[in-house]
Amino acid sequence: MSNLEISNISKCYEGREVLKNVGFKSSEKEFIVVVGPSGCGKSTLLKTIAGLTSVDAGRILIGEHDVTRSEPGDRDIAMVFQSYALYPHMTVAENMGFGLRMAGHPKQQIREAVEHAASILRITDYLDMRPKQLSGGQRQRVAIGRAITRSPAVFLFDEPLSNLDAALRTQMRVEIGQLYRRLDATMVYVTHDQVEAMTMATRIVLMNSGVIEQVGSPIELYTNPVNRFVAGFLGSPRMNFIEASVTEVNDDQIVVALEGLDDIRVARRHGVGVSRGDTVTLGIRPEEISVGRQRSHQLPARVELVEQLGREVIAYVDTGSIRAIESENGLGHLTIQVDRKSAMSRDDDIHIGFDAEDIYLFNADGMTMTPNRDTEKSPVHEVSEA
Amino acid sequence: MYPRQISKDDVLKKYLYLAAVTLVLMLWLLPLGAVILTSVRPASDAAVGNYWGWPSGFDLVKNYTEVFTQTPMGRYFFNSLVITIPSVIGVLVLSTLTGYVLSRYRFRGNTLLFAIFIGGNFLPFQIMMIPVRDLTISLGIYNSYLALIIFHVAFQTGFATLFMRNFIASLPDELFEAARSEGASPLQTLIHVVIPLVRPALAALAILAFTFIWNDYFWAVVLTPSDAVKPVTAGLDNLKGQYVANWSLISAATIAIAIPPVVMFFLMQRHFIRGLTMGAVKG
Repeated sequence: MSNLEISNISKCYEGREVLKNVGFKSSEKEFIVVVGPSGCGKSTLLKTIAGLTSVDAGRILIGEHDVTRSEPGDRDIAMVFQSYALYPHMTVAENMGFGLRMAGHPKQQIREAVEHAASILRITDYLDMRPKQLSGGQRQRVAIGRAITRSPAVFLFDEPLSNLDAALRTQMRVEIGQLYRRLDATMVYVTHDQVEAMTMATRIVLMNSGVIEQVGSPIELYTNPVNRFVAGFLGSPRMNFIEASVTEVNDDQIVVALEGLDDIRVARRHGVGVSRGDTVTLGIRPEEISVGRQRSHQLPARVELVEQLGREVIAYVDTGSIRAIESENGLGHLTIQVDRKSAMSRDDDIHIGFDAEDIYLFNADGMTMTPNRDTEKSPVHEVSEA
Repeated sequence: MYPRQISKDDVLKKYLYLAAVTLVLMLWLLPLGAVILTSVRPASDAAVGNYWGWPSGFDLVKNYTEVFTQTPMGRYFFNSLVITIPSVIGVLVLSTLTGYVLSRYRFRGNTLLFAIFIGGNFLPFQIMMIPVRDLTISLGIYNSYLALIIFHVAFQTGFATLFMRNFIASLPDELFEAARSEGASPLQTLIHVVIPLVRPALAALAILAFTFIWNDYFWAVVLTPSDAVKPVTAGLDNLKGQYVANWSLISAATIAIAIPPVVMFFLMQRHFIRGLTMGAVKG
């Protein structure tokens, strides 16, 4: 059973609440990625699941058992650390068999478990080496192998790829994904890297300052963020935010005005409170802005910086009176992401445009005021079909 | 403030420096050289005042044999080993246990306990002399091996705990978390993870404690007046008679006593391995 249930966990450190009423539940095998900015409490959450940190309130269930007060060794979990945490004086095989040896399993059984795990990770050749003879990627494989050897119900990964270089990180990301499909276990994976979150997760738990902002599939969070934080956190380059004021409200529409643009009419989320004159934040993803005049709303812009990424081009444009808040470069430029074929260079005067249906609106508290969209029609989906 | 490296081009300074080092070294080793020379002199040399000159004859074998045949030094030597070895083992075991707990477990009074271990080191032995003597008498262990062993362990463990605590605290936290999440008990973690990694510290501590206990004179005089249990340091004093003293024999005995700590050093040296924790965590 790979059942994991966390309910209402709270934890205080020296008077500071690092986890506030955190809870989520997974009843079947899942790859849960806990993501958030540094200091959001994601690592603390993982340590409470592991049992390395006690909780002040709440319950943790693993495979139907309440393990809230159990020792880590009795929880049926295995943890993989960012820094690998291999025992330097033991060989790879001894490292991997350590847990079983401490539990008093017979030697033969330990050897079989170690060899099985080693063959999955293709580290059989290193079994007699010591950690210091291995490279970073090999060490992390050994650390994962050590977790597999114990065949736990829940794997806990604490930023396991942060210490690896970019190429190796991509490779290990794929490997961990394959491992997940192969093993009958739930994985809880903590990272600050949204690419890892988007690519690996079956479900993302997005955290910020000790609370869970949103839980859902990657595409769900990307398409229908519940608030401005989630909208801004997922997606790279991140969503553009522009301050706007509400000029008209009716039952199913909100009209906002931006200087130099036609009124923008966007759908209103059912029951959301808004009134005329409110200052709201308008959000639009860089890939929803296009160059040219074909969209419903257009405005002139000047290209300030172009990042040619090969597959796509990211440009930072100055739109005069319309300034982005919290923009990537701090200068109020809008970020747009377009096809690589669109020739653009610095100081070009262009026209950019977007459609009202791609707009998100957030109220003063940051809550989303636009209704949920169909994830099937999401931009990411279109890209994968193309 | 700090010693700066002497530039290779400055020949004069370099030779001056070498000369100064040699001079200090010779002054430093002179008494030891005199004792070594005296230990091979015939007894008559000392009687005529030839302390520093060339020996009139070489009685190396005779002197060193006599130390063990004509005097009770053999007995004292044995006593010293019986006292020192269990004391060193006791210090190592206790300080590893206390160091492990103080560095890795948070509990009320942790810092206070640690402060007491350190503070104990600042008490001068002299003010404890009479209380300790009285205590051993009440315990019925006065004038026995046990008295010296117990008090050496007690007095050395304070410093040793400081040493081990800091060493164990410097090990990466993740290793302990990994062991714990794999179900290793605290004792298993200590035996299988901590001890192999603090071997260099244990070796250094063993040398320090061995040398200190072996060379102790104060407690030996206070707690073991009888020849049967007296260690070498106190025993050496016995070689000096009330009216005569055979300085050649005393010198030979002195040199013989100095050997075990040196041997200890070479025995422990192979445990000083640099970078034992390399490969544990990143880097």
